[in-house]
Amino acid sequence: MAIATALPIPKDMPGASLTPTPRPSRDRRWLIALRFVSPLLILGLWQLLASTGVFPEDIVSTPIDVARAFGQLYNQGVLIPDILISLRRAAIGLLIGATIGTTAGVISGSWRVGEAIVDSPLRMLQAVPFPAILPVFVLWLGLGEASKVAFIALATAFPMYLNTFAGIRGVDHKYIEAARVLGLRKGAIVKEVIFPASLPAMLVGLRYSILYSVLALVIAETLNATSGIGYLITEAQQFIRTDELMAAAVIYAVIGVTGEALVRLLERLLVPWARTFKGA
Amino acid sequence: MSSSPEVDTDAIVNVIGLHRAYGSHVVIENLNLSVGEGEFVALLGESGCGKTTLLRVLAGLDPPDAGDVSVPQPLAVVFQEPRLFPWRRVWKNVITGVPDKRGGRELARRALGEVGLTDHLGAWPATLSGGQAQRVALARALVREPKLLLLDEPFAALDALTRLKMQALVIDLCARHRPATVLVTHDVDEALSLADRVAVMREGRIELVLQVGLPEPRDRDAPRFRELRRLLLGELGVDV
Repeated sequence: MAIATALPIPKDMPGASLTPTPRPSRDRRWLIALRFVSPLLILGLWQLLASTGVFPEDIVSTPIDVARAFGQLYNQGVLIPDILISLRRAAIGLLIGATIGTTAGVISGSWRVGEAIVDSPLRMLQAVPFPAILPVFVLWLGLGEASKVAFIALATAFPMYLNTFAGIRGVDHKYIEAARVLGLRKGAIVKEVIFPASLPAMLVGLRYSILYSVLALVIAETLNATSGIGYLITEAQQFIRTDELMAAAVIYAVIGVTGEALVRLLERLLVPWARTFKGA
Repeated sequence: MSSSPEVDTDAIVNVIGLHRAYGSHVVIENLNLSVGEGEFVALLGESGCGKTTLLRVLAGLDPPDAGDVSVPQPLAVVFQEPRLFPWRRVWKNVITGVPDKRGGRELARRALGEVGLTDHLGAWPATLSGGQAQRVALARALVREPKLLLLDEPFAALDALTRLKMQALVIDLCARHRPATVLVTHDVDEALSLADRVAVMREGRIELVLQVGLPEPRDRDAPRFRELRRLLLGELGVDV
């Protein structure tokens, strides 16, 4: 019995199917439906409690009031322009901050000397809670757009930096060895191995950066603004318009959720393999 | 493979007086090894005997501390884990080490055909089983038409049944491509089934070299096979 050689060349080994079996779709649809139902129930309950007088009517606005506030703001012609102004601040700040963060992360992640130069000042700066820097930026750059954008850039640079750095340093050395013995040179290893392997971590960084950009936007706009969503909030607060305050909160939330969805889309496009991969 | 430090002119792998240490811990000491064209050599030994380090030196992954090492190019390595790049589809993994990427998909299809995996051309590596992934790794190594194939316990992580199939596959592929092959293993039967020569390593030295000389296909129940198995196991400190 010559086991080793009597066996035919395997055409395909059993026990491993290529495509993961899809989950039972009925259960899944039911769960997705529930995801929508429970927030709607909360909104309904809120509406009920507020309109029956359990919540004091002059302090708590009902969901319907908030919806009406949206209509009013829109009709006054301030809603869309203010949203656009805020979005622009967040986007420019994010672009600058994420670019700086990524660049610094690549430098210190892939180069020991770079790490020695870049890492410690960045970690020191990161130790400062970033809202504390805002007054400094206002003094330096004035009350206009520049200080807000710079502030958002500052807030978004760190998550991008930390995750890019961690992504590059976290690349499994085994892949780099495999690439080396396949004859890949340094440049090719960066392009074919290090970059794709650290991309998921960089997208996590981007996700946090978007979150932070909205956070920084709120802080910068609420402290001083003559336009934007934060300005809407300041105004609404002065006139005790809880409906408008909540409408502004909803807008911020929508911006945050949209940003998150954008990153998910990017993940689908750029790292389609990540959904199949459960770790090395 | 002789113990005297002379260059074997017919050999394509020549290791003379190799030293390798990690700090004060000597892993390989004054080791000589040569491998002829198309020859299959198994390095047998228990963990920590330096066999993997020797393979890594041959692969160019670890530099020798002293001694001369000459290996032919191109060479290819299959590690204990497949080390497929999870971000590249199977066929792109296969042609990673091919300099000229034109017609790469066809090349990959042929290479995957040899390991029975043409159906998985466009799959993501993470969807493969361990055995399938290791076969892709074999295809990725052989598509480079290596003059030297280095196998570092490539079947150790597989289940027994898959391991036997993989061994049969490697016998078939090596017969077809005829690279010089160095296999690191701690499995005596594996060494005797695959290799032309078996070198037993202990504490960084080659203790024994055995010309297997068994007819192909090899019968693991043949008296001579059992005799050699007993001899090698005894050499490894296992009395049977």
